[in-house]
Parts: sequence; structure tokens; C-alpha cells
Amino acid sequence: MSYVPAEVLSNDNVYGKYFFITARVLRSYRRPPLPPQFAMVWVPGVDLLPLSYASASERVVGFFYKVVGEGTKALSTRSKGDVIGVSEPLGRWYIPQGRDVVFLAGGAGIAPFLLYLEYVGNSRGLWGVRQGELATRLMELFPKLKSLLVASEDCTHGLCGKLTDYVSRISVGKDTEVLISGPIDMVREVCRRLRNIKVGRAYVIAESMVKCGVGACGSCLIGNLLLCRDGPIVGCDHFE
Amino acid sequence: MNASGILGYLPEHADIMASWGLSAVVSKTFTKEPRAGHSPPIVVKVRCYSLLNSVGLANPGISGIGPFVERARRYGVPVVVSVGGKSCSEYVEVAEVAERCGASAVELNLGCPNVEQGGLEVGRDPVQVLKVVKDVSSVVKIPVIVKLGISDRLVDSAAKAMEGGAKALTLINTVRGTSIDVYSFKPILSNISGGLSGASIHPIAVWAVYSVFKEVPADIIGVGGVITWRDAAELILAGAKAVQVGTAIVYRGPKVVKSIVKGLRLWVRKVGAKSVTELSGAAHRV
Repeated sequence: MSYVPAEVLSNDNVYGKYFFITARVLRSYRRPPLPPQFAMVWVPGVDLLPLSYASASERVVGFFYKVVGEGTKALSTRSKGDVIGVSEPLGRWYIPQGRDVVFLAGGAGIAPFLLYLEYVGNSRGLWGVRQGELATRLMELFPKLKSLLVASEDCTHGLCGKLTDYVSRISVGKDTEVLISGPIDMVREVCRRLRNIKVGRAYVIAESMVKCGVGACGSCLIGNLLLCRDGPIVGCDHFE
Repeated sequence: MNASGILGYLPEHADIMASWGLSAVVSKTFTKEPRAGHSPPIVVKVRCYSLLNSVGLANPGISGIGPFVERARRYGVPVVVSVGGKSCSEYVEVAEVAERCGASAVELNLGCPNVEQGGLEVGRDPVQVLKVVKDVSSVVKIPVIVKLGISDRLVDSAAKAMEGGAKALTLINTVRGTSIDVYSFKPILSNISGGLSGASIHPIAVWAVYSVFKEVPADIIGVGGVITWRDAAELILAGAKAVQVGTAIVYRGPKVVKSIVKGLRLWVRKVGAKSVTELSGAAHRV
């Protein structure tokens, strides 16, 4: 894994423990990030975090993340002008062409779909959040997010309840591709429910287990796949 | 064969490694107790097809040896278990378990720069090398291979390893190094230093193999910066009878193994030899 130094441009607290950080990479990528690729984001001297690209334009990249531990907590304290390290885009990119695509995201799992929305037209889907205010705030930053339905557990935005309550009601067919990203329990439950519905393909975007990022340490193994090299998209069958 | 450290501690890793076209599979280093290893960052790519790693010998401990060996053996290639330890008795215990689980050989990791106890400190002390190798060789029947890191007493350590009962030597382990981010002023690896592998250490590996071959009658497995078949050929001419590949798999993908083997086959034919073995140490005969 090689790191491209990146200067923080902004690091906004979107809502509660959720942040959106943008940074300007000080050396051009060999290849621009495409969804659902991810980066290993290095917080110097603290930790290394696998994060999906939420935005990527020439030299400026963005990551949407939730503070869950020391590493993300340290990242949330970085401010304009600080330097972090961002790896080259990792994993295989995948952009469904000409298919009916449904995004299903839970919490911070929305991150890769924020970049997907720039590449996939006519996308639809459902984003499950605990507090509806998070959805309201993030939609202000990413207006295209309004094309997705929201299910909020506090019933303040969109549908009332959990994302999993609505999975079986989503209109899908044999030509539909479903992409899922979110907490592992949610992913398992969604995959289990999708198995009973005739859906074309169902994939999970997973990168949170990645440690070395180069296929050497073997810690991001799912089935016979290494997420850092073969992922981050893997079939739902690996999570049932 | 692969260099120890690229996957190699879970049964599923064996499935992946078996598809690479290796002549033998080498496990990650197993220790008696499970080790979580260091916190990320544990690997950083540095210039010239090279890596700095400080994984910290993460492994599930001796309970993981059986499942890995059992799965790897299904693929019909020799399975070498890399053995680490904090003391002679731990090396012996892990080697015994490896033998019981059906390993074809053990490779004693006496040259890893990533651990505080054992590892390089043992490898650079010929007296300790003799003791560890003798202890292990006296209790296991399978071949004992000794992996050494670079040190100013390498030839002495190699000689003592053979005296202690080693059947072969693996030369060399990674070389200690550090990488510092010039903007944040912080070392990138969480452990600050790590083991440098890849093309950067290739000339050192060639020198080590050449020097030991010249002084010590031993079968040598060469490792260090084998990125192309030419690098493998150099190690063979220096005295290696086999080579291991590690960093190249990270940079060029697993297909590099077959590419190196193909290149070596063509080279052997081109120089009018019958086999790689015939060319082992040929640089000494010029």
C-alpha cells in the first residue's frame, strides 16, 4: 500500500457521529477512484481506516464516515490544512450498465452510493438511518441522494422503521441488481430476505475488514476471496 | 514456492495459494500462542517493487497448524510450516505439532525483524542458532529448514544451522527498515520499523546466497526480490536450488509465479543446461 499525502480541505460534522471529510491529494492518482472502490485512509501516528470513496473529482476526494473508535475519532479532529494519507483506489470498480439498480444502505453504508449516484442514472433504493435528521443533512450536501427513499427509526424522515422492515416491499425483478452496504447484521438480514425474492443479482459492498490492503495478511477473507483485492463487491451468498 | 508471510494461516488461504502454481506451499509463521500482530498500518509499498511490512507474526497459534496443513495437503504439493518462537522450547513445540499435523518440512524463522523476542536476535547469534536447530532436529523427523536474516555473522550462523541438523537454508529474511511521511513527520508503520522485502533487497540476497554457498555445504532456498525469472536465475547461479517469491505476488499478482517458472524453463534451455539444479552455484565455477 502506498499513500498519497492529502491536505484536508474540510471535515464537516454532518450529524451526531457522522462526518464528511474532503482532501486534496498532493500527487495525482494513477487511476481515478470509481465506485465502489475504497481507500486506506491513514491518520498519521494513529490508525489506518478502510473507507469508501464518497466523492472523487480531480485531486479532491471525499469520505463519509461515522466515529466508531480511536481512528475515526482522530480523523474527526483533523481540520483544514492538516495532512492525512490516502492510498491509491483499492478493490475492483463495478458500474452496472443498463440495468435496474437498487441501492440498500444502512447508516454510514451510504458512503459508496454517494459516489455511485454520480455514475448510475435512474437509480433507486432505500437508506436506513436511526435519526432522520442525518438524512436531511446529508441530502443538503448530496442532492442526488434525494432519489433514494429513507427509512428512519425515529420516524422523522421518510418511512417509519428499519430498512429491513421494507426490503420485501421493494419492487425488484429478475433484471434487477441490488447493491447492499451497511452494518454486518443489517447486511445479513437483507441478504436473507432477498433470497426469498426473485432478484437478478444481489451484491454486498464490504471493505471494513481490510487491514494490510495488499492481499498479504489474509485478514479480509470472505469465502475464498480477499476483499482488498477481489472485493469490495461480493455476492450476497457469502453473508447469508 | 512462496515466501512465508503471504497469506498461509487459514485453510481458505491454502485454497487461494494452491491456485498460484507453487512447487511447495509455505505457511505464515506459526507461534505457540495466537498473536494478534501489530495495528495498521502494517504494510507500506516503497519504491522499486518493494514493501515494508510489520504484520508482527499475526497467526492463530498452534491450533491453526492442523487445519491449514490438512487443507494444503489436498493439493498435492509439499507443505512447509514456518515456525517461530520466543524460546527454544517453543520452536520445538511448534515444530512437533507441525510434524504431527502432516507438514512436509518445517522452516525455522530465525530472521524476522518484526518481533521483539526470538527472530533476528536468534539468527545473528551462531551459538543460539546451533541450540535451536539442534533441539528441533533432535525431535522431529521431517526436514528442518532454517531461515536466516542478513547479519555480519550470516556465514557462521549458516554453518551452525547445518551443524545442528538443518537439511537446508532459506536465505534471506526481510531487512529492517523505516518509512517516514514527509508531510506529517510520522513513521508510517504503527511499529515504526518493519521488514523490507522486494527488489530493494535482491542484491543483498544474491550476496548472502553466494557467500554462504561458497563456505557452507548446504542446500539453499533463495529469497529476496524475486520479481522476474532473471532475479530467480541470479539466486540460482549464486547457489540456490530453489527460490521463494513474496513481494512480487503483491505487485504483479499470483500469475507472476507461473511467469517466473516459464522464464526459468526458457533460460535453462537457452544456456544449454538440463535443469535448474545443474545451474545452481554456476557463478562459482566461472
